[in-house]
Amino acid sequence: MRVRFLCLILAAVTLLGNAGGLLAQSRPDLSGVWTRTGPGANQPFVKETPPLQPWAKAAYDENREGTEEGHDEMDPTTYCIPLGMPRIFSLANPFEIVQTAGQVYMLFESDHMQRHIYLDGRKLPENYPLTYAGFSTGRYDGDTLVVETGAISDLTWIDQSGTPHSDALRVTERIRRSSPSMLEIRFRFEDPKAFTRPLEDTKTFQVRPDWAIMENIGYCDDRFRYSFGKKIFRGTADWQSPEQAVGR
Amino acid sequence: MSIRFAWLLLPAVLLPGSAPGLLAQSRPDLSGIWAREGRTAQMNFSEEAPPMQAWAKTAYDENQGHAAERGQGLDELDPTTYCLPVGMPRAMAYNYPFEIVQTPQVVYILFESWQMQRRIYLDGRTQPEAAPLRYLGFSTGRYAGDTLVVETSGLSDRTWLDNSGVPHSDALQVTERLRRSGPEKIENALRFEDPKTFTRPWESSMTYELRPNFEILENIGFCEDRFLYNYDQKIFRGTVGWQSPEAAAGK
Repeated sequence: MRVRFLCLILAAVTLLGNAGGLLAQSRPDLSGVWTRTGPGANQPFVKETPPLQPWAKAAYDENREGTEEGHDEMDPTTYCIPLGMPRIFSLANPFEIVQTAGQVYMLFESDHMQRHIYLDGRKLPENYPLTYAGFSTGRYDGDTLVVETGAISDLTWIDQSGTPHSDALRVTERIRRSSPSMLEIRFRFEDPKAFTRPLEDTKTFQVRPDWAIMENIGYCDDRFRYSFGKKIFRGTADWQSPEQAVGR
Repeated sequence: MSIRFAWLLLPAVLLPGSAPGLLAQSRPDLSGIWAREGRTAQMNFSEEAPPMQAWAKTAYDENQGHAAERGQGLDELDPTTYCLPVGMPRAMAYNYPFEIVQTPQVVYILFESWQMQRRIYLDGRTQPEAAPLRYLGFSTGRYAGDTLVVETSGLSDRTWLDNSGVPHSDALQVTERLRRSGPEKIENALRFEDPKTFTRPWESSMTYELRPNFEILENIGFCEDRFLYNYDQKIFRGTVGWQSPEAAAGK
């Protein structure tokens, strides 16, 4: 009788001391470094003419005209403005998912963008400042993490197709580990100010167990360093001013 | 007898599943959002000039000479003026918050400033000899009792050590000892070794306070204004309050 009692106590203590571990195991494991599958450095979300309201269609047409050879004067990222949400997912850049009890973190190599997805039930605050990554909340639904994102800066494009959006854009993601090595994200975009109907698309990603997210501040790094170099640059062997590089 | 044995199985079955939770509890808890305590006008590791070699002292004096402009964010010698990140170790003296997230393999330090992501690898990995220099360097760490000991090297020499303009070379190695000194405080004891820059190693310490009501916000620095101005000439739409330099000057 006493043994049973002691074992029950021991089990209860183990259980309580382990709450964190058990909780972790009850949620789906989405952790790891992921890269997008499929060909192409860029995979747009918008595959045909997007369903845009007239003002947005006009902006879209203007954006489509802006492409020159590798230098799109209409593309915000040309000016070092971050890719933001959701465009960051159209690129083949790796990201890392880290899960804790209070948040899911999505840490990208491109733009070193950090997404903080709050799981504690908080709501998007009113008049929250617009950011490139937006403000994200999430909850688990079985094997799926459902994320809602709003307050996204309207300076970004949905993807490289030039599709604009307004500050009313809401992105819903259903994120699920479809197999031990694959992640699937089903996207839904709703923007009553810019779109005539919601857009949906799915992207898949594969896990990269041997990859580490590297530091990356984009091609803009070269631009920053060149501006910097004329005055203070000291001793990194490989740097050349443009004049040196062309042999003047 | 066998019934008693069956009862013993109950905690035994629960124990392996509890391993992550128990392990987590055995390491010091540094998690949370932290910021430099108090008013942090001085974001420097040393109040006076650290012990520098001659070339470094010359550079330091030159950097110091622009202090007046720095107050207006216009210091032409400060790399961050050109939109380069503050990097390591300057980030640990900066006045923006950061969030520490601990997992078994990695300790992440996620900075609000420039959205920098530090990864402190706990699994004993090394990096190859030809690995590129990085603004945040390459960090490995281990727990020693209640302290996280971090070694960082592979640092790009394009950053300042701190706000005062102390230079450093790519030979800089930074050792940090992070310890939760109270329920809402972390102390960081830092040691700087750079045989190409300093005449001897020297030390500093920083204290951080827990900020439970903070969020890590997105921040890409004042450079965003610069990006937006370049962009604006063609496509800027409707952010209330923005003025081009011409409009601001009343032309």
